[in-house]
Parts: sequence; structure tokens; C-alpha cells
Amino acid sequence: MDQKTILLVEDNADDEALTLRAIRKHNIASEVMVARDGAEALEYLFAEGRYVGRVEAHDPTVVLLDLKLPKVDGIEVLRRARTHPRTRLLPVVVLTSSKEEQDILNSYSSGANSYIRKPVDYDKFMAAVGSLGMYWLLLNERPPRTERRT
Amino acid sequence: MLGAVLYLVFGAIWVIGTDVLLDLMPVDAGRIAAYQTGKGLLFVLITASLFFLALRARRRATDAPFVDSIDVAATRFGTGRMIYTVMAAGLILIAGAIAVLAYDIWSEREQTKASAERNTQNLAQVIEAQTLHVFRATDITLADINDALKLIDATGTDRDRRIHALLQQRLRSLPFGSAIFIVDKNGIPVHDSSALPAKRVDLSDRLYFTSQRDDPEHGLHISAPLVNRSAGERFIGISRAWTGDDGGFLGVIVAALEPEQIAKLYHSIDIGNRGAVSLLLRDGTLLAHVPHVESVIGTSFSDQSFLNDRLPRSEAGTFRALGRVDALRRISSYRAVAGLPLVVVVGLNETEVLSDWLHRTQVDGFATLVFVLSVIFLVALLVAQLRQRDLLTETLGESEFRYRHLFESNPHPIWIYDLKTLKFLAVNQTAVEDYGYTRADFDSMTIRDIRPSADIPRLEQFIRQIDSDRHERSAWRHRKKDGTIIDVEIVSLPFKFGDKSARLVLASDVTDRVRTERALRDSEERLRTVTDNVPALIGYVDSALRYRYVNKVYEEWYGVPMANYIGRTMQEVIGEEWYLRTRPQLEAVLAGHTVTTERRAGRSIVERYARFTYAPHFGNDGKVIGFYVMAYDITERRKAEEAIHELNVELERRVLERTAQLEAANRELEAFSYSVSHDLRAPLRSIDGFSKALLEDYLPKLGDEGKDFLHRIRNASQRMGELIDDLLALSRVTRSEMARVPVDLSMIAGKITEELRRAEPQRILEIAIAPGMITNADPNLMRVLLENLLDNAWKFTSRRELAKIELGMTEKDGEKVYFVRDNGAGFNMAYADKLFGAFQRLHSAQEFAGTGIGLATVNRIVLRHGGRVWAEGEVDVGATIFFVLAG
Repeated sequence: MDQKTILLVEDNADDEALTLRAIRKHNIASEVMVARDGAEALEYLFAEGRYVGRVEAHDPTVVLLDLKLPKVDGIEVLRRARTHPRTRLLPVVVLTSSKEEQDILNSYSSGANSYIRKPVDYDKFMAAVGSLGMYWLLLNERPPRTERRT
Repeated sequence: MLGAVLYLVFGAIWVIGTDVLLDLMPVDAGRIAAYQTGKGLLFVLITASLFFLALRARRRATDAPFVDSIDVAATRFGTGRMIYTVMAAGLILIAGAIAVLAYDIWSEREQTKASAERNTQNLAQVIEAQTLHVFRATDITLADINDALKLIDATGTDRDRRIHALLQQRLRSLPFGSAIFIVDKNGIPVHDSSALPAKRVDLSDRLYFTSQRDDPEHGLHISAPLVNRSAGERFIGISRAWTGDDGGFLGVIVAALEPEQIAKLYHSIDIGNRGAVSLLLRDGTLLAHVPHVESVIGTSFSDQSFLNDRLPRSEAGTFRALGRVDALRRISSYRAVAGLPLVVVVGLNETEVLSDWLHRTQVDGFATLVFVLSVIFLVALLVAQLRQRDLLTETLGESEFRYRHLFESNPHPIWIYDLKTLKFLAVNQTAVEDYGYTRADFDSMTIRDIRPSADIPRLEQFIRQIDSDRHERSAWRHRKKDGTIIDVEIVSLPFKFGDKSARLVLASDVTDRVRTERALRDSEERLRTVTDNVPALIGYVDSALRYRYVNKVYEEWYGVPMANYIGRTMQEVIGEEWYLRTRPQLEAVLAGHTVTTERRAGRSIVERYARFTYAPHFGNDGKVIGFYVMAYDITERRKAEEAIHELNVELERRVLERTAQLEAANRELEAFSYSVSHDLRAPLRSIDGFSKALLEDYLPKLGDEGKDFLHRIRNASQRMGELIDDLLALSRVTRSEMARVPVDLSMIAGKITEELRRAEPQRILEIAIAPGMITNADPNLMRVLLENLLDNAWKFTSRRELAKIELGMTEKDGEKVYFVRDNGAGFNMAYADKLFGAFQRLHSAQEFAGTGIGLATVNRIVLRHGGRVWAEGEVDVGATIFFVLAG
């Protein structure tokens, strides 16, 4: 059984803490990787820069991606990930404050697998993160590592 | 008329001619009187009959149209006979005149001849007497010489001389004698008046000698013409015996008479130029002849029949024969000279005798010819007139019927009125029907009574001036019995009604035409007034490009008087240059197209731009017969357009500027909204999240009060999150792009209420949504709008046991007014204006949850659709929100 890793791309420390608390409370994953901007997220995903040499085993099962990010924004991260063979089929859930149609549309057209708005109500937020973890980490069958076969 | 004049002229010629003729004729007074009487009678007779015929013909002709059919037949019969009568009378007249002439000529000729015979007899008598006288005188002279010779001494020496003298003396008493000589008993001349001594020649063989010698009782002997044996001249010897005292024969005494001289004896007798007188011996020997012809003297006329047949029986007589000498026809008389063997014949030339007669005959003949010709002419004239009338009357029976039919059944009113009294004499049925008067009415009326009184003076003037022989055509106003005044045109014809002079009038009602004409004139005037006062050029040009109509604007624009356009061609008026410029348009309009063009008005006094329209005018056959020219001044408009164009350019520039500014502002707004939705929510989430974390992790330390505070913090942050969401929604309503398409409001509302029911299935509601409400609007915004309204209704009826929500539509002032009505909490109308402002709430959050953004959003959406929204309500009764979507 592979290590279940969540890559949380979140620049807001409060949100990061609350999200991690919610993940923890639900006992979803053994490991959560946090990238605090888009650039770091991409380095992690492609095992570049700071994350050169990162083992494949630490490839995330799901990416929780905020849209409004320093350096490289969430949409750009998503788009690049979808062009890269390693992350082409990687499940990406957009987790953001925005409810703008434009953002939703852009996310899905850039290859997002899901779009979840962070509710202000923490109870609802907890519930949302719990459902999310349950679905993507436990129920959902991850796509095969295609690049290895090709 | 002509006939009468001709008749008078010829009559006068005839009268004068015959009078002159009578004067010329050598007839006695009794006969002249008889002639004159006969002629006068004849003249009166002819004149009277001609007058009678002429009058009859004239009366018949004028009466013709209306005579009764019996009369017609009589006339027809009469006319045929009359023609023959007239022709026969003419022929009789002519024959009579010719017979009279012939008789005249014949009798005159006979009379002339008879008188010529008498004349010759008289002349013969005179000539006989003269001849007798001459020869007696000669006899006496010879006897006297015989006696004288006895007295002269037979032996005297001067005896010869004395006898010679005697002879000469005696000769002088014989005017025609040329010589007297004496021959002795031996036949030798012994004395000669013309010679002394006498030439001795033998004359014993001469008959004048032998007859005396052989017969002592012979007496006077007259010889045939002889030739003188001594001198050789021709003479007639007249001898007597020379006797002695005892009566014994001594010889003969001879007187020689020259035939030419004897002829001279007759010169004093008037026998005309071609008359003839002959002196013959009884045996026919010609002794003398007038006119004298030497060669015939002495020839024998014994073959003349009168000598042989008549003379033996009668001493005097008359005969007609050709002249023996000159072969002229003569009327002659002969007469034996008493006691002498002589015959005188006097002849007058027949031609000469008849020349007077001939002359008279010619005059007579000419006069008669004139008379005959005039009779023929008159007869022909009369016959022609009768023939014409006959032709007329032949068709009269039928045409009489036709005339009556034409009169009675004529679609035009016709009447006949007496020219003197102006009374109606006859009217036709149409007049009765059209004018409304009965025939009895008409009988008692005059033509004055069918006119408005104002027209009476004109009528009387007209009647006074009427020419009774001519047709008149005129226009009048007539009054019907019901008082209606109509305009009529009448034709008035002279007409004989019995013996009355009348007029036949045919009237046609032209009221409509007159009205039409007046209307036309009025409409033309109106047209003129309108077109002259319209600030546009209006004209009409025919297909030959001649101006037929122009309004005053032409004058104003081009400075050419209006009168100078009419009838002239465009080429003449606008000149060759402008004609060529407008030609394409003219050709197009003449081809039946309406042409509109904006151009400079050529030749206009001031620079002027105009919009010209050329509209074709089609005739009944569909061909273009002309076109209308219409133009209005667009100089001002052109200027305005130029100004507008400049303004537009400026405006566009400004719009571009403003648009850029607006886009920038929009972009800022976008960014702001994004920030709001993203960044304002994050702290709230933190507040709520960490409050929850406190509650979870540090509950025992917080105590009840701390727990309550944290709950309040959490409520406040969550409420703020809702506020942010609603504000964002409101902002989105403003910012979102809009597309108006047909939207089914009923369907959308149905779905929304369905969701609401599902959310709170325990609520008891009556929801009424009018079906088929389709409007033109943005579907998303409509959904937001209805969501807000129905949410509100749902919310405010939450405390009703039976909630009623109604979505419907009414029409007001042609607008579709939609409404959402509920029986909820309602509101105080005093705050109605606050309902649609953002964050305006009429209820506390404890009563009804809400942010106060919903109706503001509704207001925005309605405004974005160009409509309006308002509310009616009452506290605890309910509220109705109305909205109208423009377009």
C-alpha cells in the first residue's frame, strides 16, 4: 500500500492551520505536504529545485490547490501540472474562497478534478475537508503511474 | 328669293323686248293693242300662277315636320301632280310662245311678200306710164316732124339745112334720143340730126323701114336694139312713115333711142340695191335693163314663162323667178305698155324685201328665246323645289313617327315655347319627369317660371336679341318644381308651331359637370395655394420636357417669373449645361422610375442645395406622360449635418476616452470584487475556525460565558460571510454580461418553488404561477430575480398557517406588469421607498433572517432591463412586488 500524501498549496497560514486541523481531525492521511506558493508547489510536483531527488513514493495522491497564490497562481500551477507527464492525471481539487464563475470555469477547463469553496463556517469547512479526504484518498482509485509504463 | 329676282328680271326683259318689237313692226294700231292685251294677260297669268306655286311650296316646306299623316298623303299626292302640272304649263307656255312666234314670222313674211308684190305692181304701173310717155312723146315728135317736113320747101337750097335744124331741134325734146334721121323710100338716109349731109348707107333691110314701107297703116314701129351702121352705136329705132301730102310713102322718120338712156329713165324709181327693171318688146327682146348690162341688151327673154303663159291672158301680173341677168330671186310684176308692143317688168330682190322681216324676226326670236329660257328656268326651279319637298314628304310618314318618338322619348328635356308670349306650347315626357311639373303645369307656365327670379332680366335680354333663323346655344339655371336649381345647357332652334313663331329647346342638365368644374377649379386653387406656400419646389413637366406647372418657389429660387416657365422646354429655361447634367435623371423618370437626388440647385440665385425628387406621371395607357418635380432646400440640413458630423467625430473621440476610463474602472472593480470574495472571507474563516478550535480544545477553561462569546464571534463572522456573498452577487448582477432572449418566467418560477418546497416540505402553501409568461430578458438574471422575490415571499409567509404565494401578470397601459404577491408579514407603505435600497431591512434578523440585499438586487436586475419595480403592502396582510421589464 502506497503512502497517501496530500499536497496542500496554501499561502494563508490560518487557512493552512485550519485545513491541517480538519485533516488531522478526520484522520485522513499520514502525510500532508504544504507548498506556500505556486512555484514551490510546482517544484514539489516535478521534483525540482528544493525538492530535487524527492522520491516517487511521495507523489501526492491529491492536490488541494488554492487559486490566489504568490509567484505562480493556482490556475497556472494546474495548467503546468496538466502538461507535465508526471502530473498529467494527478487529481487536483481546487479549494478556494472564490465563488466567481470565471474561477470555476477556468479551473475546470485547466483540468481541475473538483472545485470546493471554503465556507466561512468552520463546521461546514470541517465537513467539506472530511468528505474530500474520504473521497479522494479512500474511495477514489488513483490513476496509474502512466509515465513509468511508457 | 333668287327665283323671284330672276323672274322679275326676265319678266322685265320680256315686257320691254316685246314692246320694242311691237314698235318695230309695221303693223296697225289695232293689232298692237291686241298684242299688248294678250301679252299683259299672259304675263298676269304666269305671275299669278308662279306666285301661287311658290307660296304653296314654301308653306308646305315649313309645315313639313308636324303635319298630320293625312296631310302628308295629300301633300305627297299633290306634289307629284304639281310637278307634272308645272312642267306641262311650262311646255304649253313655251309651245305657245314658239307658235306665236312661228305664226308671226310666217304671216309677216307673207305680208312682206304681198306688199312687195303690190309694190312691184305699183312700180310696174309707174314704169309703164313713164315708158308710155316716152314713146308717145317720141311718136308725137316723129308725127310732128312729118308734118313739119311738108311745110319745108322741097326745092329750096337750104332745105337740107333746115331739115337738119328741125331734126336737131326736135331731138332736144327727146330726152333719151340720140339721133333722129330720115330715110327715103329707097332705104337711104337723107337727113340726119347728127350729120349734114346724112351719111348715105343702105338701111332698106331694116325692119323699122320695111314695116313702114310694107304697111302704110303700121303706125309707130319700135325696133329691137340695133347697131348704127354709120357710127356703130347701139340704139332702138322708133320709126314712123314719112308721108307726103297725099299720104304717099316717102320713107321713114326714125328716132334712135339709146337703151342705156332709157334705163336711166328708171333710175329715179326705188327698186333697192338688187331690184331690176326690164323693158321688153312683146316678143321678148330686151330693150333696156336696170341695172344696165350692155351684153344682155337685145337678147331674147322669150323663154320667160310669164311672156308665154301670162301675158297673152293678162296685160299685168306678178311672178317670182330667178333674174335672167344676175340669177337673183325676185318678186316681179310685168305690165304691157298700152298701145305699144312693149312690156315692162319690175322685180324686187326677195332677200332685200325680206331683210327687214328677217331683222324683226331675229329680235322677235331672241325675245322669245329669253322668254322660253326664263320659263324653263322657273319651271326647273319649281320642279326642283317640289322634288325636294317630295323627297322630304316621302319619308315624312315614317319620320313623323320618328320625330314624335325622338321628341317624347328623348332622354333630354325638350319643349317648344311661343316666342311672343314665352308660353310653353309642348313639352316632352323627360321634361315632365325631370322638372317635376305636370303637363297641365307647363300649359299654364311661361319659360320665365322655370328660372330663378334673378335670371329673368338676362332671359328677357336673350329673347330680345334672339335671331329667329338661327340656332342658339347657351347656359342657364333652371328651377325645378321642388325649388332645386340646376345648371343646364340648352340648344334653341327656330320652330314653326302652326302659325306661331316658336323655339324648340333641348336642355341638358350639366349641374354635376358644373359642380365638378367648380370643384376642379377650387381644387386647382387649393393646389396653387398649397404649393405656393409650401417651402418646396413643385412643378410638373410633360413628356416633351415642357413645363406645365410651377409653384412660386421656382420664382424665388431661380429669379425667373412663373409665367416664363409654362409651355417652355427645360432646355430653354435651365440652359444646355444644366440640362445635360440633369439628363440622366430625366431619362430615368421618363422611363417610369422615381428618382431622388441631392445636389446643388443649378442657376439658383443664392448657393442652394436641394433634394430633388422626380416622380413619373403615368397616363391611362401606362405610358409616362410627364413627371412631377419636387425639391426642398437642404442647405440648412447640409450645414447641420456637417456640424453633426464634426460633433460625432468629437463625441466618438470622447467616448473612446471614456470607454478606456470605464474599462479601467471596471478592471479595478473586478479586482476589488475578487479581492472581496477571496481575501475578506479568509480572515472570517480564520475567526470562525479558531473560535471553533477554542471551543473544541479549550472548552473546560472557557466557562459558559467564554463559550457564549465564542459562539457570538462565530455567528458574527458567519453573518459577515453571508453579507459578502450577497454583496458579490449584487455586484455580479451589475457586472455580468446580458443577452436578451425569450425566457419562460413560469417555468423558472416553477423550478424555484419546487426547490423551496423540497427544502421545507412541512410547510403548507398555495403557490399559484400563471402559465406561459414568456418575456425577452437575460435568463440568468431572471432566475436571480425570481429567486430573490420567491425567497422573500417564502420567508415572510413562514409564520402563516396557510401561505399564499402568487406569481402573475397584468397588462396596464400596454405594459406587461409582473407581480409576486404573498400573504406574509407585509410592510408599512410609509417605508416603501426604502425597500429596494441595499442593506435596507424592515424586519429584524430575529424576525426574518436576511441581509437586505435581495430587493436591491431585484431593483438592479429590473433597471438593467430598462424597467421599473415597486411594491405595495400592508403590515400583517401581505406584500406585492410589481416589476416591468422594458422592451
